[in-house]
Amino acid sequence: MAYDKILIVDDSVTSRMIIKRCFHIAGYEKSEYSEAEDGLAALNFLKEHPVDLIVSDLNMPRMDGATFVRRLKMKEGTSGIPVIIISSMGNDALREELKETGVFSVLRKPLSPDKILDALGEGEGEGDEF
Amino acid sequence: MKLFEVGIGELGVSSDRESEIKTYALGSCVALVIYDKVNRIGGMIHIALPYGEINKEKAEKLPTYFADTGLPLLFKKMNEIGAKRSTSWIKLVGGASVIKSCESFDIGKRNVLAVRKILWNKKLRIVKEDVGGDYSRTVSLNIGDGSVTVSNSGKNWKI
Repeated sequence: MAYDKILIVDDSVTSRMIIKRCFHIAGYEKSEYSEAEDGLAALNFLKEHPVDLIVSDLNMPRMDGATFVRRLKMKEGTSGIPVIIISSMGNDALREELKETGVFSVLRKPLSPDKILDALGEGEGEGDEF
Repeated sequence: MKLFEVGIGELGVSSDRESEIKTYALGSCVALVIYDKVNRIGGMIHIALPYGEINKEKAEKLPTYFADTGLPLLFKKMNEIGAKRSTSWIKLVGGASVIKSCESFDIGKRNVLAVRKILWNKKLRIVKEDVGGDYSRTVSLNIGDGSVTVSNSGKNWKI
C-alpha cells in the first residue's frame, strides 16, 4: 500500500532520523516525511496536514504516545490514519489497549527495515490476497 | 445503475462498474466497505455482532452476521473475483450508540473494536472511518468510481 505522507513523532532528533532511515531502506524513500516532537505537536500538525501513516514513540514530554493515539482515534478526520508505535517498553496490557484503540502495529526497539515491512504487511511471502 | 442491497448479516461483492452496493439503517451494526481502486472491484458486509461465540448456532447458519466469522468470507469473495490487497482500501461505517441507557453494553463500540482488531491482525488498514455517534447510517459504494456515500435523515455526505 502507498504511504506517501508519513509523520514521525518522537522527542529525540536521533530517533526520528533512525526511523526515517529505516523507512528509506524498507523502500519508502519517495515518501514525504514530517516530524513532530511529541503528541501535542503532532495533533496540531495534523489539523492542517493530512498524512497516510503515523509512526510514534510512547515516552514523550507534554503528551505521550498512548494519549496521542487515543485523541487521534476520537477525532473524525484522523481516526482512520494507521499508526505504528515504536517502544522499548514491554507492557502487554498497554500493547493490548493500543491494539484495541486501532493501532496498526506495536514494534519493539531497536527498529529495523524488516520490522517495518513486516508491520506493513509487505514482507516476504506475503501475497497480494486478503 | 444496478443496485445490490446488503441486508443485516449479509455481504455483497461486485465488479460491475455500473453497479452500486448499498446497506440500510446501520445503527449499532458496522458496514465494512472494501474497494480495489485499480481493478474496480468492491465489497461490503453488514456486521451485527462482534464475535460468533455469542451465538454459535447463528454463527453456523449466518457467519456473515458476526465480525470474526464474516470478514474472512468477505475477503475470500474479494479474492475470488480478482481484487488485490495492495490496491485496495477499507472504510468503516456505523457502530452508533443507539441505546443511551446501556453504555456498558455498547454493541456499536464493540463491533468497531472487533473489526479493528481483526484487520490489525491481518495487517490491513482502515483509510477512513465514519463511526460512533447516536444516529443510524445508510451507506453505498459506487463500483465505477469507488465513491462512498453515507446518509442519515435526508443528509448525504462522502467519506
